[in-house]
Amino acid sequence: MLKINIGHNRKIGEPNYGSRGASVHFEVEVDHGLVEQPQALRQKIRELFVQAQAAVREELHGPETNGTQRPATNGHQQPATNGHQRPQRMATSSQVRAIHAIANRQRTNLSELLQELGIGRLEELSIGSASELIDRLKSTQSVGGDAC
Amino acid sequence: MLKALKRDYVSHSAISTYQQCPLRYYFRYVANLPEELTSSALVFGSGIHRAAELHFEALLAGNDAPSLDELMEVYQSIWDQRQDEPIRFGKNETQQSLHELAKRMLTTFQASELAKPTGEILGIEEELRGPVIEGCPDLLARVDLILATQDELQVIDLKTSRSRWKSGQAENQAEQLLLYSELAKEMASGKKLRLRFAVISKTKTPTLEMHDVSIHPDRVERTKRVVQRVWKSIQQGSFYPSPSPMACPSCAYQQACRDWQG
Repeated sequence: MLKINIGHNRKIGEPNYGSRGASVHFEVEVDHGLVEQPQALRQKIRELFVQAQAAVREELHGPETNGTQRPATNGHQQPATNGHQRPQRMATSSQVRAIHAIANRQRTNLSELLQELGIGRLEELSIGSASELIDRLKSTQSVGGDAC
Repeated sequence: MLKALKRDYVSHSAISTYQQCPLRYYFRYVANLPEELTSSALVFGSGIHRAAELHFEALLAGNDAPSLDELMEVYQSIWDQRQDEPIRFGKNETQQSLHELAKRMLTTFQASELAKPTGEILGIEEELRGPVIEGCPDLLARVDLILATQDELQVIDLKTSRSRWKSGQAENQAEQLLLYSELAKEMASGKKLRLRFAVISKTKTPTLEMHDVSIHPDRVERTKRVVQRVWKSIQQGSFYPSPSPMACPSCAYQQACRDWQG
């Protein structure tokens, strides 16, 4: 058997410069034969990361529906606040461009990725989630090698 | 005049233009006059910025840093885009001499700590916009580089400068970054905000030095008040020439200025 360890943690800012965080770690045993199937192995790792991220996100922000509850901003304008809650800043355009670039290079199906994340557009990601996705895509690249 | 009133955003660059010469602001932002000449320094600076942008984009996307040849290719592409424009060169300056200077400066950039950021890149030439100044439209900023380290959110503006900056020069030019800080602070999520100029000197042996700008709430407020006053003057249509032996020789509207009768 092959063991895969996946860890994900995240800290978010709170009013008055406070913060709170959540972390989750999975240890999963999978068929050793996956080593011979890089694509399938990467897919498995990706699925586990998605599960881990969803669990952490839910812990920090409560259950999500389809992502449409996030504040409607274009990622550049500051969303309105009520003075008590720090707004969730949307992904920067640089992050969105980078995700497109990595996905293209790895020939990752972006539609499937968006579906996994439960969002319609990359611009719906928060800045932190976009960072995590970039890290994940980069690490998948280093695990499985460049597809190009 | 209506165009000035219709602008739904204000930038540090526009405010700074007005502060240097209100008539120049009028020609550029209200009358939308084409520039009579383009300064070589402007094209040169755009080329260096574009090269740095390519470098950081590659890092963010998990690619190797571009080679010097690749950086020079994008630097040159900026000149190629402007090939039909009349460009005013400085004394003893040619496109070839600037090409050699760009090579030296980008080599310095590649070897610098800035080119190997330890933090996470969040934004490159990132456009930030928001209502931060009362009585003014949205403030629009294009930030060269936004980095997140464990404890800090760094807002970095890249400058090319004829010489190395003296101590205190960063503080004298702090207004731009202080305004940007008002937009960037929402990204900080509790981290300390750090404002920095990265200055590459256009010297025989270029240097790249980082200069921090201190954030004092009073100074931020003062800067916002200045923008408010300038915006009010613009809305009132207060446009007049501000002759300067430093600024006039490189102005792109010299003929329009001579023709202006008030």
